[in-house]
Amino acid sequence: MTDAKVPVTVLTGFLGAGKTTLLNHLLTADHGKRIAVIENEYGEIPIDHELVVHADEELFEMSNGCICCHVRGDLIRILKSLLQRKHKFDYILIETTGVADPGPIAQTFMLEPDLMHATRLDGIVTLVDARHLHEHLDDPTGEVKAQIGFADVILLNKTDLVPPARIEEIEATLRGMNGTAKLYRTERSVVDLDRVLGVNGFSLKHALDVDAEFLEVERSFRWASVFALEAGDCELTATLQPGHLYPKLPMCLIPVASADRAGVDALLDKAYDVFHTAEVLADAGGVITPGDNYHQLPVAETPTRFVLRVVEQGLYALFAKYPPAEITLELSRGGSAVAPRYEQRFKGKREHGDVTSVSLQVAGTLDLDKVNAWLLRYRNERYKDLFRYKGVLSVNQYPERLIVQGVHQLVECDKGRPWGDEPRSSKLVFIGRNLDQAVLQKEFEACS
Amino acid sequence: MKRKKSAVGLPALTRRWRADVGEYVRKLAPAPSGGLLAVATAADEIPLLDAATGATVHLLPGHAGGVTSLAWHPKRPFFASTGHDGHVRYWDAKTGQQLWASDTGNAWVEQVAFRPDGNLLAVASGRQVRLVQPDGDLARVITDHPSTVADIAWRPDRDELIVARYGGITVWSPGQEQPVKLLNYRGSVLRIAISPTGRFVATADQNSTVHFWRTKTWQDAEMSGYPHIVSSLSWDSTGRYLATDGGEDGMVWDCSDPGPEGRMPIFLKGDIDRLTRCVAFAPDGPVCATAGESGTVTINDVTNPTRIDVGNLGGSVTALAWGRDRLQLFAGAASGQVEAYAEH
Repeated sequence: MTDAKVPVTVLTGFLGAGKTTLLNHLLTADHGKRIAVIENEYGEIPIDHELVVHADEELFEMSNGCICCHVRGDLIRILKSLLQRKHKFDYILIETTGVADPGPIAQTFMLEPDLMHATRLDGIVTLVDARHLHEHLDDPTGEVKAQIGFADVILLNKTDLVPPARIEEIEATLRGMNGTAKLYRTERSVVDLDRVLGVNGFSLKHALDVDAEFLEVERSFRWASVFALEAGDCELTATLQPGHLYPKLPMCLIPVASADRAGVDALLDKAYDVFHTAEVLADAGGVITPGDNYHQLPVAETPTRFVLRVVEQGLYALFAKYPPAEITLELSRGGSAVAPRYEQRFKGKREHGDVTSVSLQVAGTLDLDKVNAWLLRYRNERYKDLFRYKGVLSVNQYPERLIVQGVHQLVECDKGRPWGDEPRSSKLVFIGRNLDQAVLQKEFEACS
Repeated sequence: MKRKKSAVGLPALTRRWRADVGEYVRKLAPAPSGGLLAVATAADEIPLLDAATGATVHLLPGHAGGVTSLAWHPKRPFFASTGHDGHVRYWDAKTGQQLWASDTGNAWVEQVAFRPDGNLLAVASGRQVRLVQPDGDLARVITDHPSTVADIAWRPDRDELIVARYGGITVWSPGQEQPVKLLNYRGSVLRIAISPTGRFVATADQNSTVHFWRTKTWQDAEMSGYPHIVSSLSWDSTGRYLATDGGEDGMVWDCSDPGPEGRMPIFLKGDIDRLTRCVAFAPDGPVCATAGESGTVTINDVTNPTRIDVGNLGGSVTALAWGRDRLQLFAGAASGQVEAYAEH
């Protein structure tokens, strides 16, 4: 049934980010798929493609019970007409203008009964111009931030025109704004098709298949310290500073060539890979080992001690998600402190813009009524600021995972895999404007 | 006209033929002089069927990408078509030859409508409305619309064209540079149907409402509460009743004095959990045909709501039309099936 629905991909990005080039690439690549394109009113596809329709970006209000939100009337008309054709295309691509808000597009697919029946929103792909991102983020309409916040896939384009160090910085900015999107670097909008089509960004079923990973927000680091370590065990003490509510400290420890900026910079790709691809290493006995191991250290306001086991003497860089002002790390050996030889701060989300992604986690089981009431109140109060939210919840009445996803005020829920003997926990990610992690985490915890 | 009546005052229609045109039927257009039925589908070609037998008389090449709309000349055996190839085309139904084609410059052309005197065609394409003479010469292009034009209709009682657009309707006179009237409404207007007397313009809107605009004062009344967007509007021949889809049941508004406001609609019973998608009043009398997702084609007496099922197309019915020459009803489906019903 799901397979019979035509997947729809929404392509957003500021003027000049490379949308037309990407469209051309998608349409001319040898993939054997027939793609219908709905272009924005200013769009101009310079190639001869048979299925190009122009849209007007016409917003109107649609109500669904007590919820009123904006949907795109032009898309409803065009898509209904396109869908009357039998077996004529495999994908629909919607290209928006640079200033379009992706929210009403997503809501159109969540509210219009005929479209819900015949299509599925596959994903929102946002192209970012690496050269001009910071100017675009200052755009007073805030639409670039919204486009980044809504994205399932972010293509950081024109990376060939920007120095590598600058790209790292831009990536950190983007990660801070949207921690759940897949982020790829591209040049001249060239990207593998399967990275932008068929991504299942809005599929609860898909979320449920991969729920171990899909909520790993912000697996990026904001701090690195380089230590000279002897072989053997030393002691790492982590302390959560007052005013912060992170339950865990994601970190890794990687051998480094030199205790300076060049040494750390040379490891950024590797650390990024560890943070984004490595499985979480079970912290059995609280032992941390160097290498491609991704740890999530449980932390609290009382100091927690871990063993750092080093086989080979040398220099090691410790990459941590939070800086010492939020979670302090102290290293000691035989009772005497080991001071870092070098420290480096990475620009984190709090320095960029007002769009952030916030990841919440609570162990155990939540009370369904409480979590319902909280979510309802929160989204009624803040729906304009909430772009996307996704969650996998453990609630008292259900033996299965409860999968939740929303856009502004609209929410969809579905049952996921049964918990069985697995330890229960609930995760929730919000992406939006001016979200307060500490307050949200506290409120989320209060639902248990 | 003498007519056999059923026990409840409805004509006894039975199926006369079934044809398969292959793709989603968008519009059925019987020739005003009778004899032929033109079919617009999501496929390129335009089948021209013998209204009496369903046999294909001509299969016109039509429009690459699909046909969106058809309009017969009111007196002559010619008709215009529009489609997703950006063209409006004019056909001789007798020979099956294309008389002319005109490129609108837009990818899609949505609607075509003949002025009642047959001397001017209105063509909706993107934000434009083009006025074209029956010889194919372009008389005028009206570009002044804020968004895509969804529907157009000529007034029967005076020389005015009504245009449905985002944010309301615009009234144009072919010879007048400025619009006669701009009527604003906060939503998007999808369909227009003007009552045969010209007294009311009924519109179906994207937010699941129907509006009645009184042409005398251009005051409007909004009918809300529809469970679904209305896509089909039909007036009876006297201009008293307007039938709509928009839910399981068909709905009929009585517009006799003092007007539809404050009245309950008459419900034409549909099938459970299946939307009614098409409504069509017979050329005369209070008889309204309805059909929809269930595939059942029904006729109803709206003065004494009684439903009689006349056929079933096995899948969602997407177009209904009554023949003009004698009491004959055509129904087309998403599957491409077309059926005709007539009295014995």
